[in-house]
Amino acid sequence: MKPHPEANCASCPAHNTAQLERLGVDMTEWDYAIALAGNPNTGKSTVFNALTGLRQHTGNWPGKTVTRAEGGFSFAGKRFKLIDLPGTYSLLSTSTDEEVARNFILFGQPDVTVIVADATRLERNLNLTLQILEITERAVLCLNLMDEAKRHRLQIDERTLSKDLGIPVVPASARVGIGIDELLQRIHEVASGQFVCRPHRIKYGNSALQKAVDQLAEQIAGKYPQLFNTRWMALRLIEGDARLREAVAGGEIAGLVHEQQTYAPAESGL
Amino acid sequence: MKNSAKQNELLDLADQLRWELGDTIHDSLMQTVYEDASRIAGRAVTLPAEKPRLQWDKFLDRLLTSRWTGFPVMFLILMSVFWLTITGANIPSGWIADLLVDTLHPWLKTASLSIGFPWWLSGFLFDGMYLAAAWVISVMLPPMAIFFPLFTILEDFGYLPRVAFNLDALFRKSGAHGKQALTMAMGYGCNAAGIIATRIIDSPRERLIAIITNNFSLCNGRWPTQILIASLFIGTLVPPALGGFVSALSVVGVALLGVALTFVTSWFLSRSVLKGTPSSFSLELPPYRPPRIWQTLYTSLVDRTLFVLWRAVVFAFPAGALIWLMANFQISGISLAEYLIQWFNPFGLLIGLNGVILLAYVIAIPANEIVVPTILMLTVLSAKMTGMGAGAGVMFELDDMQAYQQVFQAGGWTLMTALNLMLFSLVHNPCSTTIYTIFKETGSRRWTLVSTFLPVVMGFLLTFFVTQFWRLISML
Amino acid sequence: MIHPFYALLIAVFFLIGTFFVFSPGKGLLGRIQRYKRIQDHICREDILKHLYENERQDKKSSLHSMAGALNISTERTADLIQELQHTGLIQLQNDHYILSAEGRDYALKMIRIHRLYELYLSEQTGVPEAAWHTHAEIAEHEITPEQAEAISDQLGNPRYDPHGDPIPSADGFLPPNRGLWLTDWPENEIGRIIQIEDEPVNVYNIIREKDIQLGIQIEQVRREQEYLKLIANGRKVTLPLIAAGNIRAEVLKQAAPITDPPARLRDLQSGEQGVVIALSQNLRGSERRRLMDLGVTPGTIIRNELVSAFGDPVAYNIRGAAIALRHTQANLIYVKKLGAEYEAAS
Repeated sequence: MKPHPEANCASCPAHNTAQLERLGVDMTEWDYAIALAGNPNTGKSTVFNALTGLRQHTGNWPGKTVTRAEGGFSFAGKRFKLIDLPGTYSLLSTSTDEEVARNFILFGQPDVTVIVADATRLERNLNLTLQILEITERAVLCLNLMDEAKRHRLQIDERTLSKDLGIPVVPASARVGIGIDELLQRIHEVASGQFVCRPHRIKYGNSALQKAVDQLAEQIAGKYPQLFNTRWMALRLIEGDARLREAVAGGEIAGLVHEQQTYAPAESGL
Repeated sequence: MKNSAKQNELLDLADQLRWELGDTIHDSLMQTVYEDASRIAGRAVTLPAEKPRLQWDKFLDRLLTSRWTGFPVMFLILMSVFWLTITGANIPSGWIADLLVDTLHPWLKTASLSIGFPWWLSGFLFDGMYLAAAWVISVMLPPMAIFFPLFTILEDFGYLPRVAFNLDALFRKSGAHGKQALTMAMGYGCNAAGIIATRIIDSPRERLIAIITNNFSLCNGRWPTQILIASLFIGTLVPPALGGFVSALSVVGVALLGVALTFVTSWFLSRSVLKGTPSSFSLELPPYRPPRIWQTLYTSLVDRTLFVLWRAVVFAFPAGALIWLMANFQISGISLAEYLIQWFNPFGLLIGLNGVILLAYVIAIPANEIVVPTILMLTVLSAKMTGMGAGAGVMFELDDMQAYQQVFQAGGWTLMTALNLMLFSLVHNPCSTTIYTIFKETGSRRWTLVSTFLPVVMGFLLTFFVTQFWRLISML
Repeated sequence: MIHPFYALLIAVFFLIGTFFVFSPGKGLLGRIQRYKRIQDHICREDILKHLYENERQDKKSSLHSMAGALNISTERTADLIQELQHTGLIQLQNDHYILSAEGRDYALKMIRIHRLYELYLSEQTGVPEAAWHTHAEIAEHEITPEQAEAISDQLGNPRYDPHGDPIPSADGFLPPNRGLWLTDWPENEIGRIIQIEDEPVNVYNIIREKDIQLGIQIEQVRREQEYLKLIANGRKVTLPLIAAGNIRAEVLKQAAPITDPPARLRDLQSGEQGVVIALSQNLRGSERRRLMDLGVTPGTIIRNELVSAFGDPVAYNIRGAAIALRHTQANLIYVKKLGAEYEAAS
């Protein structure tokens, strides 16, 4: 890996440049890679446009965005590359969209994953949020469509939500530009390590499943002590996830460590 | 694949655990995730003491999807969109033609000759390439600038999923996927975009059906042809006051025939080469959201109108050049274009078209937008008309309807020719961009060939039967 | 110009001719394809499968049993057997033929492909259930081991086929059957159906007619002469013993008896609500996962929100969003009705 001029400072987290390049993201001119995930039809494209100033077409039907969009913005002197992932309801099924989103978050190791959620349908949006938090530790929840929620007279206590999820929660109405500034601020805080997420972890109810997951997770942790999402990996391996099996068989799994946790600059890996 | 011992241990353990847990892992996992989600959401969200009265949304939903009003409302919306497009596009079309063709073209010709261009270079550049592009802009820009924003407003509002919701029963009966309604709607803008949109369909079988039948959605390159021919030949059958309405009605008729063909072809495919039962269908009906007019205008103008127009212009240049060359390249006193027209003519007449139209469709494979200008130019050429346009191989703009009529009459056109052209414009091979997109999306040469030739064959059959029955009836 | 009447006549003849050649299944092309199906290598593979199946059931395989099973002449069968013996896949033991170790491996690989392919058909294509077996019978001779592994990966390295039969692993491991045959079922136990043999087809059709599916809860199983009487998901069913002998079930430890057949989501009238009890096992693969992703899990309250112009599909309010489902799907979701006036516990 070539030392990259922007990643020289020891304090900023070095992203997984090689992996990102393999996933088709050119990071030569950017400091942070930000992934944008969320359910379909939650205004993800609108948030993308609001952050980047681009005007990607937005339509009111699920699955509108079929091609991946990328854009960039700068904030607080840093340059952020934003990658719009396909909108999905989940990351546990086997559709191509989910595979793309899941692989990006797991193998691309974005510095921050911004999850866009529809405030009026919080419960179903949390399904995806919780699944993402099983994979990555660095996420921000953008609670979009707050104007719609007001129209439905829903009151959402974002501080409780933030506490329960262990990540920053930003209420927003991206259509009219409300909440975008705060979202930028939180993205920066998580990316730069000023805010350390303590993400919520799912407790697998079924006792047989819990036992099996624990057993395998322990084995994985034994081999790869630096991995933080061993439980999730154990679960996926038990479910027979082909891509993850390949990563385990090929040794790729050893590289899936958040540099932020070890506070090591990218060069030290050479 | 490298398999070291310690890694295999993990996989082996995972495999063994999978045998032990059986087939209910995913179920219990999803239940757990949702239970957590539900608990966390419950703590954060306070529901209103009394339910808000969102009567308007409910009313709209009932109106747009109920048994009695759903389809009539859909038809009315479609009609109004086309009526606005047809009546609204006429005047600006004339202005642009005035500017680009009547004013700028003679000026360019004179200027180029005065600075010493040889006649063939000036003819090739300005009579061929420039005029083709100018024609495409004046014919396409106004209807697109009206049609796309209207369509985008419907899309942003959340109407398209309701259409898919209503049409699903028909798609199900034809063995297709419910979301094909959405990709079909995207095809009305551009078939290539519609084919990319079929990625939302998971089942490969149903996705192929959606790809093959997307061509039956009239794309923006074909709307101008439909609109022009309808106003010339069908709108003139009734008193002028009703002209716009009847033209719009016939264009909607052709569009609905396209929908019907989509169902019939899907039905046929899913009972022959793409056998299977329709897979599951879950479509979210999003809440209505008020469209933002300015943003809609901006995105539909920039993303769609200009994008599509740019493509058309890019293809118009070489096509214009080709036409000019064919018209001016002569073998023993007869131009190449005339040879080809004569060659296509017998088959053309058999299916109620003519050699000119078929040659125009061959030339227009890169972009359907240039079909009508090519037809006009070739007709003038083959009918040896004088005083029309500016001579051999020159594309031109005609100022009023009567001038068009004259050209078509000289080419031997009847109402039947016009009807067949409208049908053939709906049912023929996709443009080259679309064919390329199909190949990229399916990765299969076989399915690309099927999607290309199935509609051509269907178009030939359709026009053939219409023509022969028409002739048979007029003999009685 | 040709007279329109003759033109039409010629065209109609031409179309009929085309139909005759290309018509799927019955056309000339279809016939040629079917003829290919009785080629030698296919017959050899079918012999191996026949031997494997017979050995599993402790039956002996002879020249005549093979010729009968494959529906080919004894002369041809004899030739094929000789070739198989020559390549060391089968051996003669006393008066009957048995598989060698390699032959058994070969047969297991084919069974693996067959079951994987059935699962693939059930999960990722719209091929109807009745046609799975026929398709898989053809595919097992055509799919290479590499392709089979690719399918397996794509399906998430599954363990069981859509009938609950275990899929042999790539290295030839086939686990013992789970649970018990229904014919051996203890009367007082409550259980869940986990495996239904799809061969022979006529017996399988009896089971399908009785609407017995994987995942159904069974109780009060009693044997009466040639029949087995039981309660399946709250419904009284009488099964011929030959059918019951092809069904396996596992004991459920903490299950409550189901007294009434549960309602289906499809039964909810406009505005009515219900709480999800279970998803039928006939809802499988990506279809099942997608519904669960959308929030259809046991305990979810669902309301019939909006009926489409043709009456099917219906949009249901599931965890706050209106989701359109076709009747065929809504029929596979069991619910308990709550009535229209029930307000979601807030």
